[in-house]
Amino acid sequence: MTPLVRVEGLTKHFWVGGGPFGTGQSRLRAVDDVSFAVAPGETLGLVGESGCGKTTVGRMLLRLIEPTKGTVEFDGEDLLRLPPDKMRERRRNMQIVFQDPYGALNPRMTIEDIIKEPIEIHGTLNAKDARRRAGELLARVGLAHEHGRRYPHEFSGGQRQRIGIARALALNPRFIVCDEPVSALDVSIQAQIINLLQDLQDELGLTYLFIAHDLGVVKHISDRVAVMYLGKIVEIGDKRALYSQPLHPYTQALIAAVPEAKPRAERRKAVISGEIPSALNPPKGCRFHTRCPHVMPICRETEPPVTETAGRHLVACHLYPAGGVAAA
Amino acid sequence: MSLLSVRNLQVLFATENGEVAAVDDITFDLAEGEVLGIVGESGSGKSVTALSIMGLLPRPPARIGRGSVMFEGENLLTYGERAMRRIRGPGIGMIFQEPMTSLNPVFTIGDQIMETVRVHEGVGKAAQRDRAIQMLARVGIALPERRLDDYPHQLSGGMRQRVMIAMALICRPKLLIADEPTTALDVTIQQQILELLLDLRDEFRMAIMIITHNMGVVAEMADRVIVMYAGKIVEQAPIGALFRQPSHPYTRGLLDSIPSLADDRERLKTIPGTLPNPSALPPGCRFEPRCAWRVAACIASVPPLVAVEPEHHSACIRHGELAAR
Amino acid sequence: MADSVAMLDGAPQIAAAAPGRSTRWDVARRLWRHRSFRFGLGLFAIVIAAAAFAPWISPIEPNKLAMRARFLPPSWDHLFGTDNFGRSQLARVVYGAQLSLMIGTAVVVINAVFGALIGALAGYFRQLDNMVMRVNDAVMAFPAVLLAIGVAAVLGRSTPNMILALSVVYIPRTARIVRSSVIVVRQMEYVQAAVAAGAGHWRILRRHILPNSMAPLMVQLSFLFAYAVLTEATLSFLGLGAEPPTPTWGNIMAEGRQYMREAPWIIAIPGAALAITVMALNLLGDGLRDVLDPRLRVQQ
Repeated sequence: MTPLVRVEGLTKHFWVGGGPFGTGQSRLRAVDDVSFAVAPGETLGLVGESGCGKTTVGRMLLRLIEPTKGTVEFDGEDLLRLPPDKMRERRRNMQIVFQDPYGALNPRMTIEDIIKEPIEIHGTLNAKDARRRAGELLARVGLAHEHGRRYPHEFSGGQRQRIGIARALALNPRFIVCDEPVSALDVSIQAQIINLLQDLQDELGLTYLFIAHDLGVVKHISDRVAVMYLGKIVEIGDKRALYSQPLHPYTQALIAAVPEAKPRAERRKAVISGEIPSALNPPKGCRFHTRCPHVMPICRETEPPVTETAGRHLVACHLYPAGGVAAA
Repeated sequence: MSLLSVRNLQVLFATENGEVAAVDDITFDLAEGEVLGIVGESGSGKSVTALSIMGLLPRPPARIGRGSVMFEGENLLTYGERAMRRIRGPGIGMIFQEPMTSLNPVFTIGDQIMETVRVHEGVGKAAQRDRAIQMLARVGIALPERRLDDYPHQLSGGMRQRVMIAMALICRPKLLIADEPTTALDVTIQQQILELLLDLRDEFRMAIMIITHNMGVVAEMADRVIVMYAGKIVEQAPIGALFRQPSHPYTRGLLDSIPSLADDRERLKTIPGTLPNPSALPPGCRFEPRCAWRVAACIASVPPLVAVEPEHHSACIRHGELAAR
Repeated sequence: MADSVAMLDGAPQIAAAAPGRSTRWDVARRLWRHRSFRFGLGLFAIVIAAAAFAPWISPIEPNKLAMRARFLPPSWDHLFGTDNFGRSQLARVVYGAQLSLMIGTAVVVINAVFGALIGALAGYFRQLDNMVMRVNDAVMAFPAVLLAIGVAAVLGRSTPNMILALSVVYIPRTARIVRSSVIVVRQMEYVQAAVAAGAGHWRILRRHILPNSMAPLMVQLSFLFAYAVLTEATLSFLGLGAEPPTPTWGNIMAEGRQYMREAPWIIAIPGAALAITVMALNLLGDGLRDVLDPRLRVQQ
């Protein structure tokens, strides 16, 4: 199937620090040469630790952040070449749900106005129909029509997240970037929102890019998963394959580090030591080599190429030379 | 005798809608060298419990309604600020969720650690420095002599949490209270910190009270667990029993709603509804409005904690049927 | 009403929240509860009433000379006494209030419009920011009063010129405050959400950024009113304000200065009026700041 979203060589460098005239700035490589595709109706999970660039990737797909390099194709059309008015028009098809349920809603607008805003911008419905649509959307995310007259501060975190989802649905988008939509919520509320997102996907045929740091949540909701480390995708593959047989040492470490909600007889030992290096000065060669338990001399010198193993499982690691998977 | 023994503790907060009980009539014990997990969601009262043990509640608006906090046989609630200061450090140490705001940005980490030593032990400058270096090395900070002169902003989140642990442990407390110590950290760093805490427990023979919303962290760390909901203890059990036979519908709901790496469920079970508003709590069991097991009797009165098996207590009147499932 | 919502699986309940109460109403209620705000509001209302009802309060013309009634101390006939030309001080002070308040209002309105505009544009379009803010810094490098004196001296003395001078001095300060709150607000995710929905710059500024960056501006404007009244008096006192015999508090005080020993009421009464007005505005500003800025909010 042709992908709905295709990203090729996506790169973002920020310039940080320096004096008032741009002197002495340093380059922060937030995202470096990232490529992937999302098929219609699919959920691609994007996991990684803080600062790995996963949020920047999500924002670049919607051009909320302009990429430094690369292409973003939506339904075969290169979004980055679109002039501003065309781009605004295309935004109907792609929306975003944010992490922070407090910062994502304008505190001075009523819930109904918040949900109606995308409809007003695109003029798809008249005022009366827009109100009705807002009411329908509220009902669809599990709130009541009357809630539309209230203000965001009257709602709990989980309820605000529902409102954010209703806003994202207002224009019947085909693709939604979910940027850590449940990580700010209490455990018992998380499950409600995850189920809601899944129901909406089944019902409306939505395509998701689901960004999160919680591996359990990503595993639950995704069809395929991409793992990022310091601005690069190190592994991408089918969810089952990736979790049952992670190839990249970082993916292995990440999965092993998740504390399972099961008491165990023995104490576990941390798999990897050290901390994530700065994206201002990423390590040469493979960016993970400073923490990798399997580090080889080549890893310090050469950036590993992306290798495809069985079943569209891609990995960027010298342990897997091109042409086949070595025993790891 | 237990190291810490909390009896019928009630903590009230003044709000616009009158006083509300953030912690209501909780009782528990903590033995020497034991790791006790306190689990709950926002508003459960788990952090307020920790702050009232440390004497760090903001007063006003907070006020102790009744109860006692016995630490080594002394009721800390009768202590004034000066007496409490002598307990914090050599008696009880505490680490917080956000290591950035817990460290003073204008002093070097060395200054802050040495200050603690100076206040409690009155040793000379050189001895303070040696102690600080030793402690930083012990919590896994490389080149501690150089790090001593760093300011908090020069360290990563994981490093800052290590510094906080060093500060909390330098006076060898008998009890360490860790309030969501790894919530702000990445998983790979979280694992390192949890491992460090357990190693230090063995080495210093201290008790740990770890407060968290993460069932995985509890499973990894705790010997015994207390589950809190809306200011009340709803279940209390040894770690094995809690996961083997959760005996309160809330505990069950929490465990069921976590997407786990191990299973392949199509759909998560959820707990419907939201946490109750503390100024309008349900009259009987506080979990009753969200509970799938509720019966008429649940509204009648607040269910007490009763023994399900030795050492395992539940505040659900239907815990027997729950266990049968 | 919310409690009758049909419970779907996982559908939330609204936790006993009051029905649809707007934030604006809430702010008004908290302001009213703020004691010094209420006191400031009361004082300021008195000053405004005095200016508005000047012809009724004092039937005597402010410039009517009465050479036989010079230097009369306050009495029942002349509540605030008379000056060196026998003019009624009461008349001069209340008519002076008109001019002071008029100038203050004009400066506040001009600042609200241009300060907010410049600040919002600089904060929102970062390409403009550097240039606009360097100009701002240059203006702000001069002490306020000195700059106002300079501008007033160049333009010549007249009321519109005075307003212009005060605006030139204070607009950069207002713009700076608006800019910094716009920079904070534009990072908010609801602004990102509006961009993602396809909103244009104008809509984002008008619906999302400006309404949420107004709080510091409101506080600044109430203090600005006080500065404007004070600076106007200073300039008039120095002979750079409105032409005599037009009564302004500064003019009256300037003229009364030479008779300070014999007739202290000439300088003291407009001085007190000025002090009361400035204090009232400062109390208003403090109240606004306490209520609108959650970082400074104290437990009540």
